[in-house]
Amino acid sequence: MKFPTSPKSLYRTALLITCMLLAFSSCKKLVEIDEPRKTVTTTDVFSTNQQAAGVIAGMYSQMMTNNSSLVFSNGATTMYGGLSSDELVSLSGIATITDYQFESNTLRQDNATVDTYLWKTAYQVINTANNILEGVAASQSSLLTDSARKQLNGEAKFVRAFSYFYLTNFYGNVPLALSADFNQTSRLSNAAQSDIYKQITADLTDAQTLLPTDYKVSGGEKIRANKWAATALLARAYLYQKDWKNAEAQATAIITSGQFSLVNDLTGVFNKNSTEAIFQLQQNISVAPYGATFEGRSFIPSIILNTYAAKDQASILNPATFVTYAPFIIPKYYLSPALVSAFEPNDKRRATWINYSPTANVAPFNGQTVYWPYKYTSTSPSTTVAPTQYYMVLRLAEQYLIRAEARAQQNDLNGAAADINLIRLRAGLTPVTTTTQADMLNAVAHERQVELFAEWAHRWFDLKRWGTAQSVLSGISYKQNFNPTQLVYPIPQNELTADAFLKQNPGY
Amino acid sequence: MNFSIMRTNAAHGHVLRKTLLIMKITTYLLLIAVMTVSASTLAQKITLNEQQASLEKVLDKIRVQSGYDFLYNYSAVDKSRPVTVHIKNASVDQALEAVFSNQPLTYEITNQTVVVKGKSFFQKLKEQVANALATPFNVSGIITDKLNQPLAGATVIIKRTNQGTTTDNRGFYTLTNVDATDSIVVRFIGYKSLTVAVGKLPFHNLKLEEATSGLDEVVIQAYGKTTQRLTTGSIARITAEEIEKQPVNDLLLSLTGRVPGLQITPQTGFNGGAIKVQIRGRNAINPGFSSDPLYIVDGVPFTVLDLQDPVKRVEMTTTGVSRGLDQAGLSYSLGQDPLYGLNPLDIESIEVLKDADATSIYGSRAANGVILITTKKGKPGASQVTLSLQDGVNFATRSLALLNTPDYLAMRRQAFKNDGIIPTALTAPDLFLADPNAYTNWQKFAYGHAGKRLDLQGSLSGGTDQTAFRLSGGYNTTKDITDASDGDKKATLSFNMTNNSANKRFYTAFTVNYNYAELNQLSLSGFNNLPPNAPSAYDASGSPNFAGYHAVGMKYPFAKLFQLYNSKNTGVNGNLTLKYTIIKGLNATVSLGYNSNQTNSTLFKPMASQSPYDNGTTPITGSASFGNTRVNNWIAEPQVTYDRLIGKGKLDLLAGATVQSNTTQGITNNGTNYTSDLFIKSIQLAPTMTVLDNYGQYKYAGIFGRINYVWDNKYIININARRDGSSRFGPGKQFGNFGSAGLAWIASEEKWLKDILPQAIDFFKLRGSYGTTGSDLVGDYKFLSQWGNASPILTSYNGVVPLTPQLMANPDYHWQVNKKLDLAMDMELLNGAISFGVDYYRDRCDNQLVSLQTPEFTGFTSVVANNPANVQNTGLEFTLTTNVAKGKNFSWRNSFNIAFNRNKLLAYPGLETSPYRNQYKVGQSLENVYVFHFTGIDPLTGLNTYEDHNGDGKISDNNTVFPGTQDNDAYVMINRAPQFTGGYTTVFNYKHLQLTMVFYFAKQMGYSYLKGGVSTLGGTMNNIPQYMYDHTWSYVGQTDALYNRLSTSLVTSPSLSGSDANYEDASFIRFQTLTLRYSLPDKLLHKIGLRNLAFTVSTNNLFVITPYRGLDPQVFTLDQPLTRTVEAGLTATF
Repeated sequence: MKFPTSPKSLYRTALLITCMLLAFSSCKKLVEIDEPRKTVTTTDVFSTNQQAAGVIAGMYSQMMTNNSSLVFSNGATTMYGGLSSDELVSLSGIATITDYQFESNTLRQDNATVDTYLWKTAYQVINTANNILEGVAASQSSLLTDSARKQLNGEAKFVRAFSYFYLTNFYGNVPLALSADFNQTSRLSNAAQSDIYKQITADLTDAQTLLPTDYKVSGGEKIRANKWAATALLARAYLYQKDWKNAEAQATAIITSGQFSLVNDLTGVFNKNSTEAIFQLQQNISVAPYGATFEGRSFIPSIILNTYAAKDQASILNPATFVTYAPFIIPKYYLSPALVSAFEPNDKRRATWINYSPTANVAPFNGQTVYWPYKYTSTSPSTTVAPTQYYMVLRLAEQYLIRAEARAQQNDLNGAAADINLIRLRAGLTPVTTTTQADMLNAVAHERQVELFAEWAHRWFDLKRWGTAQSVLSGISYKQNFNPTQLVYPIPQNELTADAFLKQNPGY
Repeated sequence: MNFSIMRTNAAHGHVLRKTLLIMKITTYLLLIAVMTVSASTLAQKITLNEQQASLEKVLDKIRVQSGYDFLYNYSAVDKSRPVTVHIKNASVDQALEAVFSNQPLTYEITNQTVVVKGKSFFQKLKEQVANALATPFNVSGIITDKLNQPLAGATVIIKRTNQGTTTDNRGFYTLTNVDATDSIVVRFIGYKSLTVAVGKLPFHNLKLEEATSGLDEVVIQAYGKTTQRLTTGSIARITAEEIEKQPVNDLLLSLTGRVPGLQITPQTGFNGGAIKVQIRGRNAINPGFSSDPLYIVDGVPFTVLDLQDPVKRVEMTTTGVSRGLDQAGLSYSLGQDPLYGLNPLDIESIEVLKDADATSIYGSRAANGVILITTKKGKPGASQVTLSLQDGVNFATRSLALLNTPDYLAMRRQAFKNDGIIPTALTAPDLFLADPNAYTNWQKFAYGHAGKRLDLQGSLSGGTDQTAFRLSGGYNTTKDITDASDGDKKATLSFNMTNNSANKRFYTAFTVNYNYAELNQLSLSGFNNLPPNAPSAYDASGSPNFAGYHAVGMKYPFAKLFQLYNSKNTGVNGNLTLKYTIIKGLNATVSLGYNSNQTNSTLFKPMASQSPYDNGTTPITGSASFGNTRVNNWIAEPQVTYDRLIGKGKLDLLAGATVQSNTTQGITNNGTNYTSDLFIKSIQLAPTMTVLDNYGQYKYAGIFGRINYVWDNKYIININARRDGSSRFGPGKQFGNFGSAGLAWIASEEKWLKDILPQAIDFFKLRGSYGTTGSDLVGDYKFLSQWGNASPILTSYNGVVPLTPQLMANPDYHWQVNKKLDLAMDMELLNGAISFGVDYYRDRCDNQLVSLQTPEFTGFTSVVANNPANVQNTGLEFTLTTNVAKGKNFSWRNSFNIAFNRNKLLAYPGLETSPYRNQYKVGQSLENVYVFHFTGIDPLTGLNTYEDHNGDGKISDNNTVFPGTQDNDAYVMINRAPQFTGGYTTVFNYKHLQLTMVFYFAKQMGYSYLKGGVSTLGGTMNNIPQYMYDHTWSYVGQTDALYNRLSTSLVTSPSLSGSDANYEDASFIRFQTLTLRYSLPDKLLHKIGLRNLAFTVSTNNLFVITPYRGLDPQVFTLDQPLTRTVEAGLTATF
């Protein structure tokens, strides 16, 4: 091939080619784009303490308000665990089939609630926690101080353990995703529940050493996990694993910390930062459920009829028109007769934490009073005034009950009685008089039922771990025929499609 | 440039003499060749009255009068004789002729210089020249087009030796060693090749005529031009003439039926809405991905980033369609076609590039094919004004026969009766409260109006041989068949200018076009099947008839009639090309392009559109959405091209680089809870406001090269290479290499073969190519782990703004590579009367870049990753064009194309553990769906029955296993892709009358509206087609029923929609276009002083022949059907 021969044109050509090569020698620069506008890269997020504070806020916001939708950690656990056990009944009955499946213990693997509200959201929170742990570990920035790193890791580990606790108690053997990298997690198979507890214990033990004993990071409000939150959950985790000794030790650590005390006035237990609270989640008043909680909104009817004049009540209770008013008079979920009748006479908890709706003499209510939880008293609060109650996650009363059970199991009946009696005393009841271990365990079980009702599916999990679920639930008319495989929720259909290594729980 | 005969004469050793000699010979040759040209320069008038004057004196007088210089040797003039001459007002030529008539001397004129010399020498010289011509000599000249514009880069070869040269930027060439008996052949892309005998003429100025044969017409290719004769790739071309015959607003629609293998499917009947474009089948495993090709308008890529997921219409397509310029996501038309703003009448040609050879130079963006759009440019010549006016109407093409009121009421009563339910006013207000004698044809109400279209166009073009320009404008209004909105408007303005420097070395082209498009849409979806006795939409005063509906216990269904979507789009596209010829054959070009689109859209849901009765106790509030989509693209592409003849062939080299940047922004402001409709147009007055803000940035850089060598016009090799970098990949993964090789053999140029081939075959070519293209269509920043507050939007916690992970980052994904093979044969018979082409292709798309579904427990439901699946599309494309008659008064041209595509999942390692394990099967098409086999209506129960494929006694759709396996009975395979598609175009010319018809056809299965689309019969207050009513099961023992018994509840599970009854033959032949044009005869035109005047009547979508029983076999719903357009038009050129 002959090229241009004139020296001048050769020179021009060479110059041109050189220019072009120069222009493109830095090709990499040409395809570099600005950092995304709406998002911050992981490196940037974990470059300073201030930036990193946002990820903790993100994690708790995901747990609490989550774009105004129900998640496992803002009410779904209480509601669906309550329906599955003998605590709650749904007003809509069979009309809301996804709820009805919980209530009648006839869950199907395509139940959307099982997936959307419980499974998916718990794993989203876990993913955030995993991302925080990995982001902190990868951060080289000296502006992310050691104390901030400890705080971030501690809270992430607490939240991860917390989420896995509910996942494994609902679903049994769930995949244990401990990384934000899908390459490591997308092909997981079911982990044994014992392994999940092992991880929960490890995370919480770490969190205990990483987190402070006070609430200074959240300005004194008990809305971020500290060492005692980790300890409280660890006490519960040991209890569920039947490690009585450790359960007692952890509960004792909290009880003797001197930071918490039972609130004598039952109406104040769920107040924000009450002395009994170990860890609460804070609502954001600008979006639904505003200053209320999802539980308050689902358990309290929009019209509390018993506060109206008798004349007005009578007009509403006209059997001919009552059906129209029922959805306003009766909450979405109300207490089962079994639970209401479990209370001893004069139990102040029944008077304070339960409210009621009269009904007309028309099916299906037939004039029977409908009772509903009233632990949270706010249903449609102001969007400008801060709420008086926060969403209670962990409280001291449960720690006494954990220790009572652990002590009873270890045959320390006096110790157990002492713990129960503190709770009973507050409820205006007399001390227990039982003398046998079995009776003491029954007393603990009873106390757990009436103290912790309509909170965090305590009853559902208790029935399951005590092995009494079948005997208790099979006697309930709307749970016929009771199917014991229903004690573990089905793993969502989508997940089985997306991951072939995942196995469905037996019976689905 | 040396065009003299280099012969030294020993007798004239002196340097001046030698120079003179050269000048003399040159001048002599020039004189012979350009006598007429030089004559015209000798216009000065000479008057001489001399008696026996000395030659010196006379010549001096001529010098004074003419201004010419004289050059002579005094010794020669000494030999002169006295001059006697009497002339008046003669030319210099005549004067000199007279003066020298008796002299022993002669003269020559060169550049107003007259050289005088001895005659004897001149005689000798003549002899020498004669001798020179007997031996090989040089031939030179200028090659131009018919407007005398020089053609640079034309090939000029000596036929005998196949040696030759190319013309320089002035069109000048010189051939060496030419014999007088030789012929020279001139070839240039887009022109008829020309062969001339040299004879004794060493100077040939030749004019080429534009090619009329399809083979030699210019075809635009990536970064250049070629012809069908010389291309090694698969390129289809649609010309301006074809585009302008179709009365469509959207350029893309004019491609319908014209290109084999190109499927154009409008997603809705809305003007300017989303259009699905697919070339040679579906590549993507992930049904969420769009199949859009790369659009390049005058060299500027029309890139719109998909900030929102592409829309997928389940019943229609298996892949998504980009929302285009509606990244705010508010339109009823599922998006806005980004090309809608272009004026179809500004388009010179559209090229569809299909195979690797044609597309791999676009590297990474060409996986789905490339569509090149070239706008019209000004041409030199007297200024020309063209005005045109089109005015027409459009109608719905089809409607369904739905029940009248008595039948409808009977149908409803029967449904209740079958279920043993006694209907009440509460459960069946249509039976009890609505007027049983009322009847409204709701289809007619919704889509029964005549739409209107008015299109005005004007253009002005012209120029000189240096500068040419074109200015055009268009205005267009369209009103759709709903007659509900104010209709759509579009205005376009386009300008371009080209300039050549005087020495033709520097070329500039500048094009800019501006467009404004306003769309107004109302969704009348769901109005079709209202009960025929439902009250009217408006009350007596013309307000929404809320009360009327409330009175009969029905919800008001017409809210959307008052919920207008409006969008206003402004687009600017500009392109500047600078080209400089460094030396002959070596050009440097820089192409700079910019385009910008801004769409502002609004969607209002005023309180007045909502019935106060239907909202329960919740108070009615208004809401409004304000969307904004901004797209900016710029591109810079420096290129160097070099061409020269080497051996018997022509070599073309191209090297270039490209840098592209795109930003797309989509903002949606939602205002809700308005308590007054007066405030609704202001976002500021919204009591509650939410903002969705999406922003994408994309940068892209590449270098590319092409080597093209055409040897002896017989063997062609074309090699492309490209290295690309894209911002869509993580560090270390940004660059990828792509390339292709194409070969062609024009066998009919082979002498030995020509003897064997039948005489009728004029042209026979085999070509093939293999290469790779890539794709990075996965969105931006997907490799980067990011924190933010967008999905979902969270509230602050404890006063701190929250950040959560926004996506599952995957730093490891890399370029997707498509491997394309194309083998083709092109043939022309009987002097171009018949041309025939066949293409076989095989595209394999491996390691696909997809949004991979991940389990929720990973934290996200999808991640961008390379999927190991390998998808293959193979197909055959045939084109046949005949010029049946080609007379002066009558001509008839037909072109037919048909394309068959087979899609196949070749391999998918790990399919059994992938999320797609119950959707795709290795060895089968991705377009397949697997459904139950419908076995008719049970004569006893009147219920649907299905085949129990595995005989386990129940019909199961266990979707964790592959359909048709284990306990899943859905074994019937339905392929939703067409078996073949094609088009037929026929053009008759009779004297001044021209008739054009275009048909588009496909053989395919479609979603049956009459089956799965209507899930319950009688259970809801919905009208049903007469056909269904006539064929429902109505008595025990009935065996000929086609539909289950009427019932108020869904009577069978699974429903028909999961069975093969849900699909029916949706093949069709669509009469796409009919255009009748009459042009006034030239004589008449001359009289009225016009260059051209034509009347046209044109139609679009005149009718569809189809066994399909829904509204349209391409748009499978009852919403906004495609329309039939009938227009009349007038075009005048001055």
